[in-house]
Amino acid sequence: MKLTGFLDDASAQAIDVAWFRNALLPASEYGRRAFEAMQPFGPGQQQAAATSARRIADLATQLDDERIDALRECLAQTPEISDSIARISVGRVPLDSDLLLLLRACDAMSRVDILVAPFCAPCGSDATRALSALIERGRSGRYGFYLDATFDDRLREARIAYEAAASAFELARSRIASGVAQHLGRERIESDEFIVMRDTLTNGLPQSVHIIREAPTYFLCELELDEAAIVLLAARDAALATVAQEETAVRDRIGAQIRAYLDGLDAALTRLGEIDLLVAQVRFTRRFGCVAPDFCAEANVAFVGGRYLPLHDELRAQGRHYVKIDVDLDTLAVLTGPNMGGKSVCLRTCASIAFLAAFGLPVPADSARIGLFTSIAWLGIGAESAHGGLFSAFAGEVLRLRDLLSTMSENGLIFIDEFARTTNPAEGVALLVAIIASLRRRGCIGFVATHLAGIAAAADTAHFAVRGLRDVPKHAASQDLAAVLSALGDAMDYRISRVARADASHADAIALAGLLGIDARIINEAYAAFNAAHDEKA
Amino acid sequence: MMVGEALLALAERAACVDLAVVGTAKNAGKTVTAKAIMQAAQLRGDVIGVTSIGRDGEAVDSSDNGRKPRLYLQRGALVATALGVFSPSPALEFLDITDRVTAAGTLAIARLRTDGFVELVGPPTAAGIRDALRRLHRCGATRTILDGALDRVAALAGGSEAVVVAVGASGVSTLGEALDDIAALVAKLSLPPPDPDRVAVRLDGALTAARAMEIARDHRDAVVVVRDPTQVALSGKALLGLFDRLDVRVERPLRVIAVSIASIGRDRTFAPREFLHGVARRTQLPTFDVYAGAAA
Repeated sequence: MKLTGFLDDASAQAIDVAWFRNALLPASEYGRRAFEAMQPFGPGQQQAAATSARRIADLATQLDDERIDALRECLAQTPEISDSIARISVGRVPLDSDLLLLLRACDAMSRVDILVAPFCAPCGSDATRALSALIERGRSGRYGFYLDATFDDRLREARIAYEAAASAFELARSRIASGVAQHLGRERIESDEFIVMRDTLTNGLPQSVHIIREAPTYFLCELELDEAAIVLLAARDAALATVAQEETAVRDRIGAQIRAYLDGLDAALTRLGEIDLLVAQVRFTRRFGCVAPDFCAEANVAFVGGRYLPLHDELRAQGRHYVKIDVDLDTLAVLTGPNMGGKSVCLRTCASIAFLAAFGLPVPADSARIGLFTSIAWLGIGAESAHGGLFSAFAGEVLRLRDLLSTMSENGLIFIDEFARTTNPAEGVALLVAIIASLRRRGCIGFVATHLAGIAAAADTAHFAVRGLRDVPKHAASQDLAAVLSALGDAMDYRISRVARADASHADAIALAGLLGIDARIINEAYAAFNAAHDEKA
Repeated sequence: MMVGEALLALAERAACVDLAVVGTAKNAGKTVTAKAIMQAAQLRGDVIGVTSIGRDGEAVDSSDNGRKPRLYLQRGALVATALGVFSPSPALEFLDITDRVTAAGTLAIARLRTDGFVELVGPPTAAGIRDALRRLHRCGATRTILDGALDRVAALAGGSEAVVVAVGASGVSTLGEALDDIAALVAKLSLPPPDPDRVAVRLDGALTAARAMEIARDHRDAVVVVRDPTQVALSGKALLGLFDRLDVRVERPLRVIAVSIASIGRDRTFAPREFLHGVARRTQLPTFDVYAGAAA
């Protein structure tokens, strides 16, 4: 997935693009190459993006999990043959290991084609079938390759001659070795060099040994071949050289034939990569219940039942419930709500759905209507500044803002999560109002999540809010965080609504502090202070 | 005395199908012993699968240009070695090309279709070795034989192979010193697994002299458990002294069944019979001399 210019590293980290990459990763090296080459669709390419997403979503209804698993297994076993192709294409004699890899690649393509036949165009072609037929003669067993004598009669003859010469030599050598062993009273000589203890010798050393070292108590020896054996050894080596020559000639001839099919093979492997990529996308779509979005020409991120998949997956693994959300975003809006109410998750849901749609992929929602953007950016919590730790939290955020403003193109999608939360609230509000105005002038849409009050009104923009706690959770203060999370989840209404202005009458933060185990006296005093301030304002 | 057959018989008595020969140093007769086992196994009709931990079997020692025994295998043998060291002729039957990378390229499994020389460059890691042995069996090997340097023996820890320790005369000055070193080494490689009923001090890392002293001081009669024998970072007399004071156990033991000797080193030789019997006495294990066709 090519992200340069579309999504910077910090933004990718904030929406956990690594998780999506992992979930979408194809099974083979060819598929991974196709995956890495994927480019986002930009404004004006709605038709192409819609075609891509619809095709994947349609296939997701046609292919079942069993077939997808079988395809993935088959694709994962497709060997990487770039080195072999490179060697053969520059005229080098192919190695037998190259031929095995080519055979296996052809096998994999045939199996993939059988599995995808009713659903999409095959990867195999006349070239790959001809190549397969050419190498097939060397198939041994189900998966092996041997440069079989059936490739060439001269090779067969050379091998027969070598076998005869090797047997003749081995017979002569065995005769000498047996004679030596018998002389020394041993069953066999087990090593090329062997020790003979002097005190075991009754008839002296046998004739056919060469002494390498002589010591007071032993001899270190090796077998010495006689004239006849040396002649047979030379004959064996000559026969082996002929075999080598014939094998090279056969490989050379096969290599020349393969070269004629290389273009076709290359195209077939590229197609295999595309199929692998498609299968990975279909698997993702099925696994996470994604739908093809409607793509619109306007800047819009709207969906019903949207999910942020990394969190959804994590909660599912823990057996916990995930609350889907609905959003209809067509401007740079403000989002407010209580702590742990899901503001950041809402932003990540929007960002990740827009991100997937930009790559022509189905999105995790019940339905969606998405525009295409020139870029997606994230500022605030979750996007680390690239300027290191010498700056304060606020300064780091400002530097990242500066970088974003200098690179962000028109018609971008931006998510700002609690920017300026660590500075003076009055100045934070002023900065956010000014930033919203600047980004809107560039045609950007997105969400600005904040606890600071009055921004939407001051910036004259839409205001959304998480509904928040339905009531204060009943669960008593506890050290059991899982129980606290469960109680909080039951009490929180995560839905997002468009509001006229923020409702400041709730004290959700104080309730949360109580739920997380802060001393009851502190909590009561906090409520008293909050209510007094609220009454005074009213 | 056929050493290869005797070693196979010992392995069988220990209920092991697969064998590994690990050598203490260069010229310890590791490859000679492995060859004797391979020949004996092939004579018995076993389909052998052969590999090494790292590099082995070159005609000339690539590290110091010394002459080395080449590995000559009979047809039918399977080898797991790097693509970079396969000789193109005579052609082998390629059965599997793995995604494991060795010092000489990708690891492949092939069958010899004619008798011939092979060079072994196996995977350097424990996981790689396990994978190579598994693949050899899957490709039809009924018995695997591993040729491995001692510094990589951790790869075998906890495995089911019978281990033969090959020891030589190189690198020591006297026979007494050699026997001390060998006795300590074999004792270390033969460390037993922990007794579940006894309280033990478990060490995450290596058992060094300093740690051993600390433990001996703080925990009298303690059982010390380390991951595998290579985690005991002592040798020679110091190690033998440690074993007198501490009961050391290993979580992943080796199954050492025998020792093989090479009495003639490049820089030193010992009288073969004295060395053979000395090693047998000190290690209390069946000891063999492939060169002399002798056992003790």
